[in-house]
Amino acid sequence: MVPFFCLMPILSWLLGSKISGISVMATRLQFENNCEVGVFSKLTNAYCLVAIGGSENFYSAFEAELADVIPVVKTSIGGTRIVGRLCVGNKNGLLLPHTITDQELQHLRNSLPDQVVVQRIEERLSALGNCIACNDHVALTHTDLDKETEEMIADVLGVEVFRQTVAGNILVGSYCVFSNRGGLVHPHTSIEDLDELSTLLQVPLVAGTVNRGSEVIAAGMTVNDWTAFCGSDTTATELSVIESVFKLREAQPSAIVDEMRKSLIDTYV
Amino acid sequence: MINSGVNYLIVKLFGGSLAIDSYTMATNLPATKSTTTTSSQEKRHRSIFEVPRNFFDSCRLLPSPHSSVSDHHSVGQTQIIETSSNDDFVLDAPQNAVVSAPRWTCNTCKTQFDSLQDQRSHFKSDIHRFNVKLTIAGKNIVKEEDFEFLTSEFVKDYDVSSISGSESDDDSETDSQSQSALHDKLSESFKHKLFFRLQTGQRVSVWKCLIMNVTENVLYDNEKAENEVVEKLKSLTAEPRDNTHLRIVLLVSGGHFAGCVFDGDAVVAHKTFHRYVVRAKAGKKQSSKDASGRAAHSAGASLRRYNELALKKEVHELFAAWKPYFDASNSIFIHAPSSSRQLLYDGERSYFTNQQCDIRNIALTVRRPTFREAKRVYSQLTQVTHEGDEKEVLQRNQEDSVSIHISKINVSPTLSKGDMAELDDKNKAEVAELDDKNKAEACSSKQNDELPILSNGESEDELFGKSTPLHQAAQSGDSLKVLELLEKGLDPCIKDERGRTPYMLAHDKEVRDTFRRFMASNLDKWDWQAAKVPSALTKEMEESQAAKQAEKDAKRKARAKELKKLRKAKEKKAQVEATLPKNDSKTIEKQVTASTSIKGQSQLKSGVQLSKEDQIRMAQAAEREKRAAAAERRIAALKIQANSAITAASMSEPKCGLAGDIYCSCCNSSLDGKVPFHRYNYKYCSTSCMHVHREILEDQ
Repeated sequence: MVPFFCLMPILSWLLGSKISGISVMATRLQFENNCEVGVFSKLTNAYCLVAIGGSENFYSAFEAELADVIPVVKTSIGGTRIVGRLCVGNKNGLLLPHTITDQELQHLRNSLPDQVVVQRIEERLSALGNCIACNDHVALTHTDLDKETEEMIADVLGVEVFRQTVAGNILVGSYCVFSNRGGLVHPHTSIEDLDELSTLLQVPLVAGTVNRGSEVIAAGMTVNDWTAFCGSDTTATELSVIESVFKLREAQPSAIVDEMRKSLIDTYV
Repeated sequence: MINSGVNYLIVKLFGGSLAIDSYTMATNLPATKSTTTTSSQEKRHRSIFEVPRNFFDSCRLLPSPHSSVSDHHSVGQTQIIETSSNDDFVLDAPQNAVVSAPRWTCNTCKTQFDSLQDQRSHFKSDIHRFNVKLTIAGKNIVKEEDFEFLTSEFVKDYDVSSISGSESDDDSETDSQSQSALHDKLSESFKHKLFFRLQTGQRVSVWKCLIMNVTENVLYDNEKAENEVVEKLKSLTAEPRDNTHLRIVLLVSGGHFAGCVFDGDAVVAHKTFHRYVVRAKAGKKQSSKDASGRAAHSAGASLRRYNELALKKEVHELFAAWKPYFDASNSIFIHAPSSSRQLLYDGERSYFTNQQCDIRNIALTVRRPTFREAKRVYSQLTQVTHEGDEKEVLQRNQEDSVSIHISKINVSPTLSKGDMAELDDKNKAEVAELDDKNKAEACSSKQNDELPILSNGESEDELFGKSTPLHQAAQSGDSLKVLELLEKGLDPCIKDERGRTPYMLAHDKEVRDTFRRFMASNLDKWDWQAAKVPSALTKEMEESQAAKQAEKDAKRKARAKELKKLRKAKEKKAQVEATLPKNDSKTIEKQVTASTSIKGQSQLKSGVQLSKEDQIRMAQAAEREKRAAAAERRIAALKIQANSAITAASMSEPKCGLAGDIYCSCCNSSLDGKVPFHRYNYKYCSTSCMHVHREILEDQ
């Protein structure tokens, strides 16, 4: 009985540290009873944008995971909350649609790190998040994007730009999500296309779903190199696919602690 | 089709063998993948770097290794050979690719590549993009060879390059502007061009700024100067294409920058920037707004200021990076209107210092600076335009400007049949071909220009209509004439050169109503939908409209009347209020004057000598006023005394009791001429008095 009591503070320390300092692999959450978290947030390796919501829950979930590592910025774009679908960015930059107001643009410039280039682009297709999918090195884009926009994507985000569809869908930004370590694409993508895409992007890809079978991948989740956020409808199977393809398990600094915990528990129980 | 026509023309002019050489040269040119080179394929011979003389020279100097293939007699054959060789390549590739693990393919375009670089560059190419669009639309993909052909001809529904909505808006705007000033510009463009007569009797023109400064005068009588110009032109065609004779186009306007380095016809480097600097809706750059006086402090204003600086910095960084290009260039073409010039110049000195190259302004209409626009401008500048035969030109000078109107670009206008008959037989054949070719070119280029208008599903035959008297009448706003012409049976569905029906040209409401009225009475006569007349205007409709209007007018009138009444009433009230206090003071004055006047009169009587009545009256008036003032003062003093006596008695205040109207309640000094400070019923000369008095009151 005594050793168990001794164990309690250690366990609580471990669990506490997991929440504050070391992130979990993938988090399930909701935005005001809505599972499409990718719509209301944008996560990159250098910053995270979160929609201004009625309650703080959504924001604080991100804050709890990321606040020590990258800035979490609450914002709206053009007065709307669908920030994830309207903007596109990576660790190098952030592209915003022409609908964004001057105030919002300045707020973002002020809150993001200096090395992140914030740029507004005049593009007819203003839902940039739906039209562009990118990681820190490559981007897939909608075929109808302007040449100028393409040039700007390449310049600001520092990526190579390819125009392609995902499973016949022209909205590549909605139907696929990829980080520098892996990617998830529309479930109807054929094996050939999957191979071709992963060769092109130089990133391993898997066809899958989120949010209990939703094929709009990017709407249901948002991911960077070490953590992911999924809608709360996401099943355990989906979650495990996500964790494995985005290599979130090995990306964990907490992997070490996990092992330590095992040995600790072995010793004490 | 057009290709073969071009080839044929060259055969006519320079003999068979030359033409073959030139064609093989053209096909062996590198980098035919990009649209830049392919789209201009059909006009290829018209660029100054591709003129036949150049081909002739370069062919002799550098005979291409493939020139031994002498059986390339027709274009069709060469194309077949080309495609088959390409097929071989495509077939070979997969075997290599299959062995290696990664999948270097494009499933959309059904091709395979032998390296990641190839695959990646394919996914950036226009053909891939085009094929993706085709597959999404459920159509068959095109092969690369066909694509080159397609881009030059059929790609109307699928605009391959920029599809920005704003840009096309921009274009149509400038188009309409240019249309209105077309004739002026045409005559203007003659000034900016140099004309040459070739030994074949053909006349060609090149843009003056291509070889000399626009401001420079050409001495046409001076043979030496003429030779100099010709020499310059010759040296231009004989330039080696080894990145030592570059030409740079720099376009800047309104936050857009486009820079492009050309070596001959090939693009060596290009870069575009865009920054948000122009004030939305208000127009003008932020800096010019700031310079006009009131500087705004909004978030947008500071963003724009920042962006202007950033743009300048970017451009200068680019110039620094492009220094080798600037050093190797021999002319730089600039379009930087008004304040945009600061981006390129610091005072007189340009930021790209290069002594040996000329900096020239572009004498063309330049649209929004984009890469595409830079290419267009450059291709226009380097174009050698056929102006037709000598005779033709002479005739054309006599002709009305209407014929010039037909050709939008500076291609020679098509000849009417009557003119053709006048030409002698020898020239006839040549001219006919030239004519055909020009027509084709005019059509193709026109189609490109007219794309935004075309896009709403009109067939292209209709596009090349002609302006009718009905168009002119509609445009001039002559509704009577329009009605007359319509009654005569002119077709309102006919479109002009820019695809506009007469109705679309009508600026006037009356003219539009004329069309609609005529539509109401002749509903079945024409296809009114094709004429773009929206709806018929019947008598009843007009009547009801008129009734509505009348009702509105009546309402407005009633309201105006009411307002007037109100205003009058207000004025009256104000007047009454103003007169009331005046009357009071007047009565006092009158009393005073009455009392004094008696005295005055008596004085007058006593002192009256022989002074004129006017003088007396004047003096009298002055006197009276003085007395009145004195009397007033006296009365006021009396009053104060009385008051102070009362207050002193009732309130026993020390020193300063409740003051009269015009004395400070604290220090008792006079307040007349000052604006008093009020507190409760007290009046003070200054705030300090007020404070002192307040303390005194509080102490009590």
